[in-house]
Amino acid sequence: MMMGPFATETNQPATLQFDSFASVAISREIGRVLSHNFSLAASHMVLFQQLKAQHAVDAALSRLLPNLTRWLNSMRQRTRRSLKNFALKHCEETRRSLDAFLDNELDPLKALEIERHLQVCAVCAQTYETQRAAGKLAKALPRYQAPAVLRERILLALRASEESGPLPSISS
Amino acid sequence: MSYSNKLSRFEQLILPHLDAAYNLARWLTNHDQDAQDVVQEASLRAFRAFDTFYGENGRAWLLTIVRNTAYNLLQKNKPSRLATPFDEELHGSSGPVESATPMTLLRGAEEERNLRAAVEELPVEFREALILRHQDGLSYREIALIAGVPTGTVMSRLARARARLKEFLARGIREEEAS
Repeated sequence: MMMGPFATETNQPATLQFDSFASVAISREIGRVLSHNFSLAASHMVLFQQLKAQHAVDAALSRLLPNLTRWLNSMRQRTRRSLKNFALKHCEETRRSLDAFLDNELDPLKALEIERHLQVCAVCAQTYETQRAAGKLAKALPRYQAPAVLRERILLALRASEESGPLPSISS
Repeated sequence: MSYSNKLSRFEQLILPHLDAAYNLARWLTNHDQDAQDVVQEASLRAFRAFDTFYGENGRAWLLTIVRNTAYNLLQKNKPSRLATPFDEELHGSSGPVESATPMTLLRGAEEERNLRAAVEELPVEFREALILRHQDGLSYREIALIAGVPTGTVMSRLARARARLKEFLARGIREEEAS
C-alpha cells in the first residue's frame, strides 16, 4: 500500500486525524502565504498607485508647464503693453494740455494731474522744458512804448473832433 | 454826458492803455509810423463809440479796436506788410563781427534782433496771439474776444507761434554747437 503523506500506521480512519491536525497547519500556512502575498500585493498596489499618481501629476505638470510659461509670458507682455498704453495715453494727454498748463488755463485738478505726470515722465518733462523756454522767449520780446508825442496828438485830435465832427481815417 | 465829462472819463479809462495799444499795433504792423497812425485812429474811433462802452475792461476794448484798425491798414497795404519776406540781409544771423564789441553783448543784441525778426516773419494772427498772451498776459478767452475767433483757434495759433519760437531756439543751439 502506498504510503501517502497523510497515511497512518493505525487502522483508524486517517481523515479525522488529518482533518484535525493538518488542516489547521495548512490553512494557517495558506493564510500566512496569502496574507503575505496580499500585503505584498497591497503594498505593491499602493506603491503602484502612488507611482501612477505621481506620473499623472508629472504628465499633467509637463503638459501644463509650457502652457503656464506661455500664459505667464503673455500676462507679462500684456501688462507691459497696457502699462505702455497707459503711459502713452497720459503722455498724449499731457502734450495736448501742455500749452494750456503753461498758460494757467487748466482747472486745478487737471493741472495737478499734469504736474504728477511731469514728475514721472522724463520725455514729457523734456517737452515741457522746451515749451517753457519758448514761452520765456516770447515774454522776452521787446515791448514797445508809445512815443510821448502820440498821446499829445491823440488828445489834440480828440479836442478837435468836438468842433470838426467826422473823424479823418487812415483807412479811408 | 457832457463833452468834457466824456473826455475826462475817456482819459481815465482808455488812455492809460495807450502803451499796450501801441505795442500791439507795432507788432501787428511791424512799423513805427503805421503803428502810431493805427493807435491814433483807433483812439478816435474808441472815443466816438465811447458812449456804448459799459464794460470794465477798457484795455481789452481798446485793444480790440486797435486790432481791427490795424487789420484794415494791413488789408489796404496788402501784400507788402502782411508778411515780410525772408531777407538774408535783414533776418540772417550771419554777418561780420566787430571785434571791439564784447562777444556776449553782441550775441545778446544779435539774438534779440534775430528773435524779433523770427516773430515778425510769423503770420499776423500768430503774432497777435503771441503778443496778447505773453506781453499783455491775456487769457485765451480774452484773446478770443479781441480776435473774434473761438478759443480753440487761439490755442492752435499760439501753439504754432511757439513752435516757430522753438525752431528758433533749436537753431540757436545748433549754431552754438557748431561754433
